[in-house]
Amino acid sequence: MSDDPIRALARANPFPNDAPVALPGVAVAPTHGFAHGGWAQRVVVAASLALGASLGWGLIATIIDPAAARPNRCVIVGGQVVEAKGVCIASEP
Amino acid sequence: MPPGSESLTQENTGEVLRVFVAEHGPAVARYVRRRVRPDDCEDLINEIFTIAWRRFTQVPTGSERAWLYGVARRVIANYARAERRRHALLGRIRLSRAARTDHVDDLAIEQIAVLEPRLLAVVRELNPDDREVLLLSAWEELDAHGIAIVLSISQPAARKRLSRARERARDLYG
Repeated sequence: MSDDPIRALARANPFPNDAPVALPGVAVAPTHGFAHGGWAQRVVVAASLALGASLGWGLIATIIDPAAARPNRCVIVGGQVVEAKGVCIASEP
Repeated sequence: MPPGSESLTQENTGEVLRVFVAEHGPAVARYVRRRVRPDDCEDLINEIFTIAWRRFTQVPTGSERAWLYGVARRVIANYARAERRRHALLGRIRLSRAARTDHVDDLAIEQIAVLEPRLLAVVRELNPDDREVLLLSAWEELDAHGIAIVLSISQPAARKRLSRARERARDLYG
C-alpha cells in the first residue's frame, strides 16, 4: 500500500480543524485608576462587566496590559476574584 | 489591519479585540493545542493575543491568521526553551523530548506517534524546516502565501520549501 504522505499527515492531525476548542475570555478596561491600591477589585469588576456570564471554561479573564511582560489573569467565580496575578489593563494598544 | 483597528477609541477597543479573538482564536488555539501540552495551552494563547494586541496595527489585512500563527510559533519556541531550562534545573537525567529541544513541532511529532508509526518515521526523518512546512500545509491548511507569513520568508522561498518537503516525504513514505 502506498498512500500519499501529505494526506496521511492531514489525517494524523491530532486536533482537527473542526474540533471544538476552548478560548480565554478577553477583557479590556481603562488604564487610569488601576495602578495603585484596590486594583484587584476594580479588575474584577471590569472583567466581570466585560465578560458577563459568557465565559464557558474556568472563568479565566485575560487582562491586557501593554506594560506587562506577560498577560495578566484573574479567575472569577460567582463575581468574586479567587485568584489574581499582576495588574491591569489598558484601553489602547 | 484588522477591522476596526484603524479607528480605535476607548469605547470600541474592547469590542474590536473581542471580535478579533472570536474570529481567529479557535484556529490559534488549535495550532497551539497540536504542539503544546493541554495544561500549558491557555497561558500561551493568552500570551499570543496579548502580543497581537500590542502590535494590532501591524497585523496584515487578509492574512491575520497566518500572522498569528507566526506569533504563536515564536511563543511556543520560547515556551519549549523554558521547558528545557526547567527540566535542567530539576536535574532530571532522562529528559523528555520537549526538554531536549526548542523546536516548535517536536511535541506535535509525539502526537503523531499515537496515530501512525509509519508516518512518524517519515516525519522524524525530515529536517525540521521541511517538517514544519508540511505540518503547516497539512494541519493548518496554509498555502505558500500563508507559510511565507508564518515563517517570515518570501513567497517563492515558501513555495520551494513546500515543494521540496512534499517530494522528500513522498520519497521516504514509499
